[in-house]
Amino acid sequence: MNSMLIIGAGEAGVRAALKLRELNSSVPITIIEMEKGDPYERPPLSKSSLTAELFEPKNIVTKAQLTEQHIQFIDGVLVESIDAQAKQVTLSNHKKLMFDKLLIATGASARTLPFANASEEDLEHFVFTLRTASDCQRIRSKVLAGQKVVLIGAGFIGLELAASLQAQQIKVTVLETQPRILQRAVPEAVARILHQAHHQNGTEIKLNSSIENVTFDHQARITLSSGEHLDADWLVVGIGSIPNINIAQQAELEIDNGIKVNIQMQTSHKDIYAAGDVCSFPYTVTQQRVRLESWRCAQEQAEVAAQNMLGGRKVYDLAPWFWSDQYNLGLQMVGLPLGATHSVTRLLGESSCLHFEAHSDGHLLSACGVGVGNQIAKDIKLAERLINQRKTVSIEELADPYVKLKDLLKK
Amino acid sequence: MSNWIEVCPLDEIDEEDVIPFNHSEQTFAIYRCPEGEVFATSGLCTHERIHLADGLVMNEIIECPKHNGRFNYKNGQALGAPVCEHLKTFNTKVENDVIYLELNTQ
Ligand SMILES: Cc1cc2nc3c(=O)[nH]c(=O)nc-3n(C[C@H](O)[C@H](O)[C@H](O)COP(=O)(O)OP(=O)(O)OC[C@H]3O[C@@H](n4cnc5c(N)ncnc54)[C@H](O)[C@@H]3O)c2cc1C
Ligand code: FES
Repeated sequence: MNSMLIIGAGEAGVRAALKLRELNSSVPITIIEMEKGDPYERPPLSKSSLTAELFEPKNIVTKAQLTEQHIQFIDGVLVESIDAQAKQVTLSNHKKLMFDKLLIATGASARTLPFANASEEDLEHFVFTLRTASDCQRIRSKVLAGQKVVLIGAGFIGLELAASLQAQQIKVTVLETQPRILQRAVPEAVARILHQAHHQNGTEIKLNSSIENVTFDHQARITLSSGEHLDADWLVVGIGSIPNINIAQQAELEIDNGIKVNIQMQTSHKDIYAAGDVCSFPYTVTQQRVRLESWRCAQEQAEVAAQNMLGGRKVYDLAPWFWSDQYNLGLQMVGLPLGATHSVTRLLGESSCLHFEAHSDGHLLSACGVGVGNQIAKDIKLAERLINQRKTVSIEELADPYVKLKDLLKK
Repeated sequence: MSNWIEVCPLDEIDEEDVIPFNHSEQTFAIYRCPEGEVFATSGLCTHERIHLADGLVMNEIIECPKHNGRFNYKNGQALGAPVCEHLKTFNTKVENDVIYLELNTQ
């Protein structure tokens, strides 16, 4: 009997296991996860999990549910190496496990800075990153109203964290080297609305700011290249993530900003697949290779991988979707603006807009919107369908707030 | 015992759309399907208790505005990750172009 092995019980690993079981009631499935405990969702870690009275991770599934589905879950154990020829992995408890098909779903780790002047203790005391439930608990245990905290990097995690800390009466300063927030991630009109919300809520964002050096005493003292000093009770580094590729690299799988997979989520070894934050894949619309960090993308790629591990020929060709929550604002985006020649923004009020990017041939490529609560959710879902169904649209219609996207879809 | 409450005039909901409706502490989502019939479910998604009325209705499916969990609003069935718990459904009727909802009284 073919045996299915999955490394990592994040969004991708767990969804793959559940899909494998849904499609095949008898194939042996094993997941190895280095963290201990029930698999949990990461997105709440920078949102509700930070502000809630009690820390309660939101489980993807429980161990009991996995057992019920006859999925073997080995937690608290690391996969140390993969022998691709012998189709076997070695675990940190020295056990070896054979596989017929393997899925690498090891995700990514938070990138940090070198902090040349810091001792181990300084790092322990002053410097935080946010990727895991225990990172979230470390930050929670540090929070005290009235503190001053510096967040390094105005990416999604940094900005969500800023909103969550600000809500707990912490004075937050965000440092960003770029001339605006979310420079690579979202269009300017959307970034402007988010920046405004941070400003109104008392979060200070310093753009074009690079750090010269950081020293630690009873506080962290940051010197910017402008010569300005900032004191902080503690720091959080939110400057992106690094894919966890070391075991894949040792196994000599091809790597290109993540484990390189084809549209079937297959690596350079025919029996080894990868999905989620750890992989880079060819985006079907433009054939450009991208690595994303998107919760739903991890889920969808994992389900494609699962089907192909069982002999299917599925491809991942959907428009990736992403969301973020900051204060009372909800941001959503779908598709990728790669290869866009036209862009247009629908302004929907003070704190809401929709931005579209399209190709000159009329194909919608991406949509990004922000608004109070879930104000723009419906339109993003409609844009998603326009993209996935490869519909052509006119820029004028996209720009006109009175044109309903649903009508464009039904054309 | 049945307990019918008035919701709103029928033409307040577009075809293939949904509106929120609140009644004594409870919140509902009221749908009009493409064929014009009216359906009702509990208002909150079973994943993270987000109101479904900001979501998108396509045919007989409501897609949650937050993380795209999908339900069949006619029978409440959850249609896959991240939602697994079904939605409660409620009977509706339309009389003289007004929508009524039946509260479960047990
Ligand atoms: C704080 C935070 C907030 C986020 N918010 C959003 C959001 O709002 N919207 C959105 O779309 N996305 C968000 N994301 C991104 C989203 O969570 C990720 O895209 C998703 O978790 C990717 O899933 P994954 O399974 O690929 O990786 P992961 O979730 O990272 O899971 C990988 C797992 O593999 C395990 N592992 C790694 N190496 C080994 C090994 N050698 N042996 C055994 N186990 C191993 C790890 O312990 C981990 O549990 C957020 C992420 C974070 C950290
Ligand atoms: S709240 Fe509805 S899918 Fe998450």
